[in-house]
Amino acid sequence: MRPPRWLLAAALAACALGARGADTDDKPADQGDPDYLQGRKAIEARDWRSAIRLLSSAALRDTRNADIQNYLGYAYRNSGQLDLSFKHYSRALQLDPRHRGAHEYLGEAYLMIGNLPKAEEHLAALRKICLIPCPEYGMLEARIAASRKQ
Amino acid sequence: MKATQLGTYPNVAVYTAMVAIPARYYLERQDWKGASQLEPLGSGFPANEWQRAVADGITYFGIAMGFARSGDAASANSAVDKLKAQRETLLRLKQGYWAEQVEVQVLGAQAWVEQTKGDKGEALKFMRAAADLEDGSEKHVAMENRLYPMRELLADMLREQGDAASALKEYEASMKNAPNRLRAYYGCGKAATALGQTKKADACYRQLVRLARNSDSERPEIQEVAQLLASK
Repeated sequence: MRPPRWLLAAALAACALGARGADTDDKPADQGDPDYLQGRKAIEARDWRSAIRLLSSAALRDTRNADIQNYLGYAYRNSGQLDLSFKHYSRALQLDPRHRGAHEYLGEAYLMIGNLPKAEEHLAALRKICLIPCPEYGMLEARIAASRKQ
Repeated sequence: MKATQLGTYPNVAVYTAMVAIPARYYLERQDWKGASQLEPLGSGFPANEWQRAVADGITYFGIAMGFARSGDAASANSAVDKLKAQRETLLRLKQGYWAEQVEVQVLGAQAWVEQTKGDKGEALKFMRAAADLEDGSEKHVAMENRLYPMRELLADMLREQGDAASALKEYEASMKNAPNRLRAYYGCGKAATALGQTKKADACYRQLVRLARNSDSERPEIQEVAQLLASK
């Protein structure tokens, strides 16, 4: 048995009339922010100082964006400012407890300071999150394994 | 409705409605054959890539559920793979919210594939993850309701696995977030009956009858429950 045609037609007509042209709320928050886009380019260019400046600016406008916080953590980590790196990774996870990248990078940051148990906590979190396999789990697992061999 | 009637670049709500209505029609009736024959949005519609991925996610979830619950694990797996591809598209397009919604669908559909394959433990692991993830996320305005509450599907799975006590608990939890659902009342009544909780079963069945009081549907659940209550 197929759904009655009148039911489909009525529902679709209501949607088409009422909802057209209002897609702006579906755009990712960071898509239009020039500082965010330039900040990501700076990260790709390994220009940590510019990345921190640009992403910090973007974070002021978009205070609840876990991706921005994660990139800031990454930029601070690579510039050797681990305290600030931890702060931004933690903020990313506060905003999105399932942020795979932040779990991976925070785990790696803990390895850098020799805190293996904390790194393993983030691996365990990724194991639960990544029921659909994700590369972040494998990356952190490999780093932890390498760290154990040292 | 024809694509030309929709105008240029309609809102995503148009597409979610277009695919959710037939998907719900089959899923709510547990018409698994019908669900397995759902068709993705045709190429003639002026949808953006991410809108199409959201819409196709709904359809492939329905197809996967249809095949899985018909006992065809291989075809269900193939639909789950297509569902995963929609999630990848949404991740690539930075549509984090919708990617997570499709992830919920992937986990839910994978759960029923495992159930069909007979791996009850894996099935529950995926189904619980789907329910927890969905309950932790907000419903988008483009979906007037969840496509099918994952916690209710978890309850259905527990009931199918013979764990009526856990099933009843999950039905009750699901009804707090998604109240007034015929299938939840039906499942709640069945689980309570299995546990010998006749008062609770009666309460659930009476709610089902109340919900369907103006219905002229021939759905077997409604007739079954009406007969059951009439015989008391």
